[in-house]
Amino acid sequence: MSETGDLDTLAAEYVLGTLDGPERAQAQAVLGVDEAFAAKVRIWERRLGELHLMVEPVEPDGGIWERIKGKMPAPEPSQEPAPPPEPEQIEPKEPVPATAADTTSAAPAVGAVPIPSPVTVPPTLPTAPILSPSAEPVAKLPPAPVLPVPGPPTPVARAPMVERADDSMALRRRLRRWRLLAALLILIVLAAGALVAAWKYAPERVPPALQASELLRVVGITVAPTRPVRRPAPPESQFDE
Amino acid sequence: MSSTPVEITWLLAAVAKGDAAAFERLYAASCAKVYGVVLRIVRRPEFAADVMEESYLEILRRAGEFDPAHSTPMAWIVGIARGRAIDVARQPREGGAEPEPETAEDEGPGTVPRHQLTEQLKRLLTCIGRLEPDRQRMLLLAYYGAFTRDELSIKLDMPVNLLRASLRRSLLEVEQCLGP
Repeated sequence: MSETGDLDTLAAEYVLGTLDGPERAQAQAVLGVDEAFAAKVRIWERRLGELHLMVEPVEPDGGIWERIKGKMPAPEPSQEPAPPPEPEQIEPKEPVPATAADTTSAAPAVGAVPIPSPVTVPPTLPTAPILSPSAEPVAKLPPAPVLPVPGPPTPVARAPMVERADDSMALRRRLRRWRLLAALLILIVLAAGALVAAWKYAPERVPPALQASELLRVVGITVAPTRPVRRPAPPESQFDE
Repeated sequence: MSSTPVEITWLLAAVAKGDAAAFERLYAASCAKVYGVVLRIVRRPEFAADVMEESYLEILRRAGEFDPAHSTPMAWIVGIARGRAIDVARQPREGGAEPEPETAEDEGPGTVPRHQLTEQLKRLLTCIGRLEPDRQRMLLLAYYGAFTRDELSIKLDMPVNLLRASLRRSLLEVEQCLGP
């Protein structure tokens, strides 16, 4: 410190930025061991800190953020998106009345067969195998389109950086899966609603295979034919009488 | 950059808890200012990019240390980046004679939009304003460019010993003016 005299000046010049290389290194060494000096530095940082307000902002190149992102350490466990390894697990949750009934679609075919899910899963990237334990809980989630619940608080240990890059991808994939599932459920509900409406308001237009009595029969319940609702075009219905 | 100190403080707190999305927002909210500060000191975009990377990774690591009682969040963030930028600027370069691109306006500071003028900055500028004009310029040049005394003595055309004494006296007067 020969040249800079007292610690206060050294601290001030350290913060100001006028020390040369060796002086600065010296100051940094003192900073690590001398709490009084560190306190002086903090005071000068506070004194001069607001000067940054006068600096014109300059938009940095977007690649800089990419570099930072690439080097970020794995986040805390709570943030881990926990990509479910086996998306197929979700499918069996298909809801019951798989009787999509809109008269035009091909779907109405068979009552109880689970609809092949449209969930398309991109080939799972190497991230998947990381956490097999989460497969189970994920599959048990209610089919409701809950947002991608950050999984069960997955006890993922800090994964190395490489996996980090995939995290957002995995999360997005998961989100898409849930969205598709939600859309599918909505379709099914709409179709069931349409079928019920058709039963009620235009029973004669409902194809025989989708008549309520027929469906019940499929399920194993036989019902005495209900009172024939005034039916102008009987030829279509073979099941009354 | 329209984020308020409160927002940035909030983002820092979220980052401290490991919220990666908050870190991205924090970067978006602060990077232009930080880059402006860093670029003035290291001059070269490739150095500035390195400094940005190191600085933000340090900010990510140390977000939990930010203390609103001590400084504003931007001053804290800029302080980290500035420290790293000065370290880089002090590294000896091979081929050191390489001329460095001068920044457009070497004197640096522009003006502050009135709404951003904090009480603390007002006090500081008032105190600096009490110095003789030459010493005001010296101090601001020192801060914005982080020049060594040798560099400053060349820029200001002033013997280095005189500059050192002048710098010291200026800092002392500012300190006395600001009070504890």
